[in-house]
Amino acid sequence: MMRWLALDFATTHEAADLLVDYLSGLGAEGVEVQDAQEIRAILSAPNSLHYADTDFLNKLGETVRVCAYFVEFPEGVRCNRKIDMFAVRLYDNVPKTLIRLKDLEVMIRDKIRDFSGFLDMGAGYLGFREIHEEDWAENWKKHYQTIHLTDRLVINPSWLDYSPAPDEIVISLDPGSAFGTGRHETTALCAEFLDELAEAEDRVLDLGTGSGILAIIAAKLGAGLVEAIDIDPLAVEVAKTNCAQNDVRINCHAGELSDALHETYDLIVANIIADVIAALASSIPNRLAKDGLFIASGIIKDKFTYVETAARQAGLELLVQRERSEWCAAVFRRIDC
Amino acid sequence: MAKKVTGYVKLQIPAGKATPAPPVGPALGQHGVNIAMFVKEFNERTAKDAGLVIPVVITIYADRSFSFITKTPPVPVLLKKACNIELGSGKPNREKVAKVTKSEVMRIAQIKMVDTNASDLESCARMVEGTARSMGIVVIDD
Repeated sequence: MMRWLALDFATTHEAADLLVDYLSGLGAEGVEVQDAQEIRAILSAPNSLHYADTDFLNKLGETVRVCAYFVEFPEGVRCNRKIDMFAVRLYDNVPKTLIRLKDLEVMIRDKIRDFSGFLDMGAGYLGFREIHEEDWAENWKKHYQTIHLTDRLVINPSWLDYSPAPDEIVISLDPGSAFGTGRHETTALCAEFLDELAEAEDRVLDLGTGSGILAIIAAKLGAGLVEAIDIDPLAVEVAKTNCAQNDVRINCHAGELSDALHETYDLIVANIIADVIAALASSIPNRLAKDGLFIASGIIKDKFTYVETAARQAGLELLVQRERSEWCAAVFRRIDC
Repeated sequence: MAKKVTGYVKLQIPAGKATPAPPVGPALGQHGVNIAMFVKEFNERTAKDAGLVIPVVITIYADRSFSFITKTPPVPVLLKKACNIELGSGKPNREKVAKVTKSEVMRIAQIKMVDTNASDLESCARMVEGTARSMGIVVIDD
């Protein structure tokens, strides 16, 4: 009989690496860290497409939280026999030993006291929690159900059975490592516009395709040609897999608007972020066919005027704008059409 | 896509060997992340580093999709590499196990600056020095 233990720590940014390496060297099965400085670095990186609410960042606070996971048997907690800082190597073949939890806690507290002579260790060891064994490989699926994006567009995870009504179009899509699961307002707004505006045989370009969801919807709605582009090669791979799963032919490739293979398109859809769409706007009219439409989404409400101004200056006319919670999406047309 | 961040987790786990067990399951499960897909992709992308413990930062978006990047090794690992040792000292006050030059310390500090977006190389270097001393590594002038 074994159980999982989570040992919690509060520390500082400067001491986090040392503490984590020490805990890995002790034999922790894995260590979890919450360090606000790291997520802020991701958000503020040049050309970052990430966005976060201030509330989210404030909640992270300044304290670095560390949680080390160990396995405990009746005889003790499983640790490395030769306890020291050697997390970098020998992970697989390190001889193991069992140490009583109380002794392990004393050992850890002593070590942190030693470390604090060199670095500000913060509050240090806080205590342990028992992690109840559950089916981690399956339980995350509870977060997902079948989604009805419009009257006829349905997103269904592959592990759920779904019997569609006669006029429904089902997209089989599993959530994964590219944006676009259908569970976000920006995706839903684009899907609505596509459903209303896409016509059979249209040539469609999906810019910033992510999971490929919008391109797949366009293809399922009968578009004659669909091309999907993303600057992230990993997203392109995910999109290709999702296209295959839905049995649709879409040309997915890495790149940006200038890499699009055809001269013009009847529909260009871009669910990205306001700044990127505003920057793209000037290049859109030349890539739109006569009467072609540009669906722009991923625009936070506060920035809509900024995007619309950029679009107007580029020669695009606003036809429709829709909002959902804090997000906006809009359809534009070339003014000279 | 509009990547609105709603969650962030950093894990230190063995390359190529992630499983849905802790820490992956509890850390990512609460965000509804597709654990099977994370495990598969992490293992594929880190297979070449098998045998190492790798820090990975997972960013979770508003629609529960995610992305992850592997990070630079922790400072103690970089120090051990610089000193060509496998172990730090268990008694850093009394038993010294290696020496590291100040220029090596600066080099490591520069590597770590990338991860944290720190603008102050001096404070990053002080962190590296403190870590070195806590491992029984003596910091010397060049």
